[in-house]
Amino acid sequence: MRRPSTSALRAYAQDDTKGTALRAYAQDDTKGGALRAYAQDDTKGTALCAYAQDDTKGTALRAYAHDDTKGGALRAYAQDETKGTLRSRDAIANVWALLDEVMDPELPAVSITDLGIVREVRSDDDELVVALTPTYSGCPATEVIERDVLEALRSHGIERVRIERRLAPLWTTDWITPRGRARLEENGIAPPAAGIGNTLVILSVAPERREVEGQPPCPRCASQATTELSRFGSTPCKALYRCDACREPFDYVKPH
Amino acid sequence: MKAKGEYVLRFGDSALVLAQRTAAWVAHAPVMEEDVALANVALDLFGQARLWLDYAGEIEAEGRDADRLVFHRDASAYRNVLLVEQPNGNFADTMVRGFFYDAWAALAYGRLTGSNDERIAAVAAKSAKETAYHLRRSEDWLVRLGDGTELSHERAQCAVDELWRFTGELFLGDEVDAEMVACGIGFDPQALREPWLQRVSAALATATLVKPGDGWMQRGGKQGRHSEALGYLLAEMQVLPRSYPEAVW
Repeated sequence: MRRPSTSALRAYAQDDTKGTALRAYAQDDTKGGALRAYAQDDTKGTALCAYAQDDTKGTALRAYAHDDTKGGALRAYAQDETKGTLRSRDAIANVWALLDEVMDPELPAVSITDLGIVREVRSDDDELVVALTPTYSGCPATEVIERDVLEALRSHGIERVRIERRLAPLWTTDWITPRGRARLEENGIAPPAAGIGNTLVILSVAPERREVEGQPPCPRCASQATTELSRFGSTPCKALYRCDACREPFDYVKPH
Repeated sequence: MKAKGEYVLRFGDSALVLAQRTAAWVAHAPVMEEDVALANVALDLFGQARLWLDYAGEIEAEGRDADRLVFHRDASAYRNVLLVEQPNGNFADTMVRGFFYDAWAALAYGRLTGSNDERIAAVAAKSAKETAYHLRRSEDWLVRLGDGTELSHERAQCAVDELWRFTGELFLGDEVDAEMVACGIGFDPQALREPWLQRVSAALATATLVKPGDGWMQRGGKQGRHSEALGYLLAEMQVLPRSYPEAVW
């Protein structure tokens, strides 16, 4: 199986049933050896190698992933020589994709990446570091989320993981992604009013007006006529509202 | 370094003791929504306490984490302000106590977000956000109780009068505060007095409650001199880990 290329972009894949199992190779030659990606699955030797190199700025970025079934489970590292730091691109993109499937235990419709609480994924030497920020300082889901992250990564063979708790920059509901907001609404939970989270941090002595919190429309019938029943709802992040039109109660993710 | 540890401990202990007091309402609140609300406020405060106390333990560098500090210190080692250890009393007592604290904490955390200690600034920013929410709620309740029925008004006024003498300590600085101001970590407590009085006076007026006149103010909590109320609170909170030091969940 071979697709030789004539011009700028070359893609190459080889399945060698007798020898090394799989090799994939891609090269973009439009600007010299601008981008190269290389993957190799060697059933007899080291199990998986992936290699990418961006040569546009000299040896600016290199990414390397290595799965050693007999040795340490996964090594992923990349070298960004412009900053002199180690980074992994492919492997880390993969981790983000896995985290995208870890759901918030209190808002099961929303993943932790939708929620905006995953702040960084990086590799320190041969250890993967996932930086999480709490929504509320006393949120009982914090430990559950950390455990879920570890389990999700371990089930994909990533064993050496460290969770880092990070407070700054401060999480506000403005970190919830558009997809997260859409998913909340689909599940009958009113998403927080936008653009409010960052304005409440520093407090004035003047009493805030209630309007600052926004008046959520009903997630079921979209009526604007809604009433706050309780400032606190079923979890620390939600308030309880009722729609005055369809009379259904609903949860509102507190905007702050 | 010692002063900074002491400073951080004070914020952590105040949040913790108020959290423990507030949590005692769970399953005893007048209505379901209040039960949920009080539990959530307590949770926020426990969370804040953990952030502060973990840091206090790290500064001390003797291997004590938040749990160790919480469960294995006696009253004289606690550095919370006297206001938060006052008993729950009735619902008005609890709400007025919470309002006085929230109004102060909102200002204090607002100042600390500008601390040149990054960790303190981060914890304060987190706490400020939550406190803003607590404050709006406790202020609403103050107004509702004060400007409510004859009985609720009477109880709210009584709570204000009883708790007023514990508010002076909030604005009283000592050598720890002075050192923290000098190195750009902390704020001058006295500077919060006017804005606090402004907000509290306005809320009391709206609630048709009378602001007590100047009088004797209790002090000493920040230095470890507490009322007997704290001893009972700690006894209940600490009994399990003290009796079974190796107990785990």
